[in-house]
Amino acid sequence: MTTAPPLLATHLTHRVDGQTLLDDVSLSLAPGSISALLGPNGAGKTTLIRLLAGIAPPTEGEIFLGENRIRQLSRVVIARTCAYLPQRTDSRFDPKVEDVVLLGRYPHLGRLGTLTKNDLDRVAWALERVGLFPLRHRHLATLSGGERQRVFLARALAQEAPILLLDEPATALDIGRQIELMTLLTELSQDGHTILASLHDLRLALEFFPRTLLLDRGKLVDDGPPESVLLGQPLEAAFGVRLQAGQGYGISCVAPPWGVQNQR
Amino acid sequence: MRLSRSARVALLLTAGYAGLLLLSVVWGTASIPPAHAFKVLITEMGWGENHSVPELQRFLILQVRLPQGLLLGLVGAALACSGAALQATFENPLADPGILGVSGGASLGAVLAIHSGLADSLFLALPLCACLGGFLASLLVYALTYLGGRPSGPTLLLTGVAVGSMSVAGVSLVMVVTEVHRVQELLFWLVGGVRNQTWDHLALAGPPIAFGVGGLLLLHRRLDALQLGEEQALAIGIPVVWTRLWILVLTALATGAATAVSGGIGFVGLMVPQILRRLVGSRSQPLLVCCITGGAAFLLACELISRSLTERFSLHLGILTSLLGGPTFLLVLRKTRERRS
Repeated sequence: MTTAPPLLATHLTHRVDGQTLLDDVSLSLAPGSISALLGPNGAGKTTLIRLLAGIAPPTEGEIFLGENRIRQLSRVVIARTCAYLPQRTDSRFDPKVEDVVLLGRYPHLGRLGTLTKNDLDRVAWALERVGLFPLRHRHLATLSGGERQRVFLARALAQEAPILLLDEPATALDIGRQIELMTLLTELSQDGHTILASLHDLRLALEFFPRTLLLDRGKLVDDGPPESVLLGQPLEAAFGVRLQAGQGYGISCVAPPWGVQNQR
Repeated sequence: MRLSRSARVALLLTAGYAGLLLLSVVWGTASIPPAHAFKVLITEMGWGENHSVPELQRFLILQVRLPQGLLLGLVGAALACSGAALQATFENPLADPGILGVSGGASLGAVLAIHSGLADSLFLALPLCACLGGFLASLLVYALTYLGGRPSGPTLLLTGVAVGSMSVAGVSLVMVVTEVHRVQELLFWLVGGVRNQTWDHLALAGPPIAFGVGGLLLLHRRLDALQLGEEQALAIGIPVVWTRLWILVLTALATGAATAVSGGIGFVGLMVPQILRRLVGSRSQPLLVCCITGGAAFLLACELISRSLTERFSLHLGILTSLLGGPTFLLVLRKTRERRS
């Protein structure tokens, strides 16, 4: 793996059909850092991750991958550096698990697309890391939602990119697999990977992520260690839920009074 | 060495096509003893002299049945591969050059070339117009689907159906304004078949089909990625818009050339990949390889069935494939809905 270049976004604004999905978001991801992206439904998490991965160009603003503006790089060059994991994991066709993971090698293949032993080794390694090696010959349609999600995570790992941009990688996983995933992400960041993952489970952010970004209605409203973000005013405004420091996970959830929800 | 499943299927299909080709040479309205057919073929390949076969039979074998059998193989391969590629590209198991309007556009291009007299005055004008018509039709479908924002499978399919209907209406319009004695010639573009085709047609359709199918084979990994969805394809570094455009050019080339020599033969591109996906899986490389021989064998088998029925019903090849294809379409539609629910 090549070392991760810093990923920097300046004043990103993204509009689709007159709707502002992202509003003046600036952030930087240092090499080897691991961050959680939080926000209520429709806050712009997916949009931000897609822009950072260079999937779509922002309406305004600029993204830098190291020295380079991402909109000037070709798709395949970006894919060697940034592995993006989309939310959607279903398919109308029914490929085999290992064939899906093999696609992660695409940016490293030559013009004729011949596979080397290194490619196959990396695929086996990725399958091993997500615990799906025994299921490699199965077809996608025979897997559960959580298993499918891990197949596509393995695809992203096989890509051997130093930056991982993951859109809700934990959503379909049970608690055991969630913790496995978080351990895997922590290990990857110790190996020098830069990781940004959008999450819905605030506890995972608190337990495993040293840095938390909070999006609300397209704006980046908070950025810091989870202990402060989770208890902050912006999070309460974003979700309409107040969290309190307490026992157990360290924080307990308190349902909002109805008035707070109606204001949103 | 043990062969992979897809290699075995491909070999079996090749053998099937070869067998059907021999059958198609000896069997028809004038039946030729198999021994005569073998003698002629062996003589033709330069192994020995033989003059015991009547000249008429020699002509039938070498100038009529053999080129037609080979041409059907070529057309079947082109349509099946185009269908498989379009299904992957648009992430829709119901895609087919006929359904997406590519064949219709190609027919319209060909009919216009004949009607305007271009085909008589310019060498290669007919196949070029057919390819161009096919490409314009698929480009129109692509543009119409994508201009409306996020595309969806059903939108694409329905846009294709609409563009296809417009093309067929165009063909009908040209037929209406054409003098009665030439209508028969144009009718061929609607129903399809290879009854009057010769080696010239084979030479005409061969290069563009080889180029189109070969190009699709080179793009097999991109097809694999596209069939998992646009986001996944973008995520691994595939320039989706350009790739789709390339695939449209290649399928239009193959389908256009096929339509230029065989008229509008529908549903082959739907049926063959559907059956083969079940046998060899959905990876594009083995699927496309099997589609080459599978499409060839399938279309030749259809021709033989149509030949055996023609004496009584006059069932054209294109009509037969549509008769088989309609129910297949409905079956696939049903299965797709089951999987989604």
